[in-house]
Amino acid sequence: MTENFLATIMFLKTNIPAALGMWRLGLNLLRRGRFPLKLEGIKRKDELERMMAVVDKLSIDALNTGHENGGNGGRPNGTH
Amino acid sequence: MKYSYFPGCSLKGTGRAYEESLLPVLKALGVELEELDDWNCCGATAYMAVDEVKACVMASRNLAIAEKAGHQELLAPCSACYLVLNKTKHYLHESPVVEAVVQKALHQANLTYSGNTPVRHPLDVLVNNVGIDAIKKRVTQPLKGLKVAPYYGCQIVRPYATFDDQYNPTTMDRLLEAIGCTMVTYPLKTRCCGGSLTGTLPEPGLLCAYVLLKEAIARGADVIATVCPLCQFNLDCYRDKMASKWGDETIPDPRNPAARISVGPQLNMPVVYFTQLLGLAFGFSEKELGLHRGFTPMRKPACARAQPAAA
Repeated sequence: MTENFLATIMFLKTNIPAALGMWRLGLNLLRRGRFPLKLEGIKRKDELERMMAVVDKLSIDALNTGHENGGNGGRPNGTH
Repeated sequence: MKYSYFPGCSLKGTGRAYEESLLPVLKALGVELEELDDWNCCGATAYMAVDEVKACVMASRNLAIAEKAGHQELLAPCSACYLVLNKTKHYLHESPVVEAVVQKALHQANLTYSGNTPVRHPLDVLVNNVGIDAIKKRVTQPLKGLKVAPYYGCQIVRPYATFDDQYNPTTMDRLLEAIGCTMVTYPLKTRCCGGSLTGTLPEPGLLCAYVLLKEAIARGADVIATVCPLCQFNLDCYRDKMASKWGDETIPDPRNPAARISVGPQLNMPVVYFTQLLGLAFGFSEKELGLHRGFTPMRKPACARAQPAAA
């Protein structure tokens, strides 16, 4: 996933008129080779998924046990 | 000198010209880079705002891969990546809870991270490792007379000013002076460019970028040099919108203070990466450095064209 696709998807999900209003910007980026059409992805996606699953599991465990650092997955400032 | 290299997604997309200019410039100076194997998104500042621990896990995977690669240091040219990777290092040092979660997550991928791999920015490496003298020796086409407004943005100096002053950084100034540029006084050098606001709340975001361009015009700059893909994007790509909103404004003419000029037509000032200016001074062509990718492409200054090209 490239930043261009990420931004495009975000706009299409949240603000379609804004996404349509950016057609000129998208075209200019495309013309200058700054909007790659090839979708990139990491090779070991499963590895990253396993890592994220650990965080989710620890958060759930913390919620269940009422750990003093828990309830927020051990986040330092409870920012979630 | 060999470094692990974390390009981040911007350098493969909207900031492609940054990578296109960075790689030949570093190679010319004897700096070797090895791109991280299977690197992932740094999480950017946005993910940090949503879930700090998961953002740290994502970033730490890259740090662990760099450590596994065996190089001493990791080079991150994108300001957001540089900040996120450094922030993750700080969190791991400061919070045992975060560190425990991250280590458990890394264990799932058979990775470990000791927390010791320094994350470096190319400006830092160029000034403090390669050295200004070595850079001067490589210059074949000094950019004499080119007036440059140095724009650092916020993320490489705040909150962690690891290699320069937080409010008045000077590394880029010294670097560009060494290749012949004339640095204009630019007090907004670390002010916000609008960041992601240009996409989400355009009015205040565009105003931030407009103020930066207007100040560079008022100071008589020919070009703005930046170190950040997002800053370059905001200053380069929304000029039509800025012109339609504020283009009628007039400011004192920097070349004749008694007269006033309209900002609109002046907004088309090139906004380039500092590495593109270095590359021009080293004799690389505009195309090799990706200068044609700017919405206002920068032409090689006459002073550089008049001199013999580099071998």
